[in-house]
Amino acid sequence: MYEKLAHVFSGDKDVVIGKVDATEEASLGGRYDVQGYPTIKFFPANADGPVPYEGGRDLESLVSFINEQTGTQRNPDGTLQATAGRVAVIDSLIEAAATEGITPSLIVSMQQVIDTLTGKDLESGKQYLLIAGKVLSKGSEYVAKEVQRLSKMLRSDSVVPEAKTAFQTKINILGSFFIQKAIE
Amino acid sequence: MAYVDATTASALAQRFGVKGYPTIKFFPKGSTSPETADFDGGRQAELIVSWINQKIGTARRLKTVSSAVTTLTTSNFDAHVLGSKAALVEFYAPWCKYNSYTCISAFI
Repeated sequence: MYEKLAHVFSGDKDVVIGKVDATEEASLGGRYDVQGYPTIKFFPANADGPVPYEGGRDLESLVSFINEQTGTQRNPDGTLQATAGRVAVIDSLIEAAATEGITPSLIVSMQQVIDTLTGKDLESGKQYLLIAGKVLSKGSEYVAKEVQRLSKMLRSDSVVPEAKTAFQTKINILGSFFIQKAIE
Repeated sequence: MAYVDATTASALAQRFGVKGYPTIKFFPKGSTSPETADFDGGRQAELIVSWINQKIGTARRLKTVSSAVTTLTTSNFDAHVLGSKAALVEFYAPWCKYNSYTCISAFI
């Protein structure tokens, strides 16, 4: 099961699923006062020390815990949740512009919103902008074509898990632009 | 590489004198007759791979499925766990087969 957990997060570069053979690495077990086996501890990013894990030892509980602690958005089967990459405030802007479609003034409004974002939302915001720009210059067919192109790459065996996460995230964001297509 | 369900393709099994299962035979390229000696090594994939390599002069190896779990030791622990990534770490003992803090360490 622990192997499955590691595969669930194999596409999330900021999460490590690790194991310590405490019988071989006695100093590590001692450092963290490990008294019984197996003991699971969680180390937040840049933390000095661990947080004990008291939840269930089943896959679902562990996946939820890691999602809560680190902001990842994984389903227990390893797929990325459909909301990963979506930014609600940008989605609302796009929805509100459903009748006019993507216009230069919508892009200006999007840029203003994006200027207030940080972290993962900012990265997503940049993707939204890029896509909006492409829809403006190439037309709304760009959205479906791009989803198709990315979906094909997702099916390839030679793509590493982290790249698949990036493709899936972009597909999720493109989903927001389908509202446009439906109206046209 | 091919397999034959000898329970349904019984004529084939008979033709090649298959008496027990599984039986592994090597048919040289272009030949319809198998070599007289069946594969008689253990059933591990690595042994079959070496047997075939010897027969056809290749040097193939089994593709290993690598573990996605990071093995942590005193030398790599700090780098992997105390850095900018979040880490979930399981401290285990190979002799403990339970899932949930059930085996108490003998050395406390």
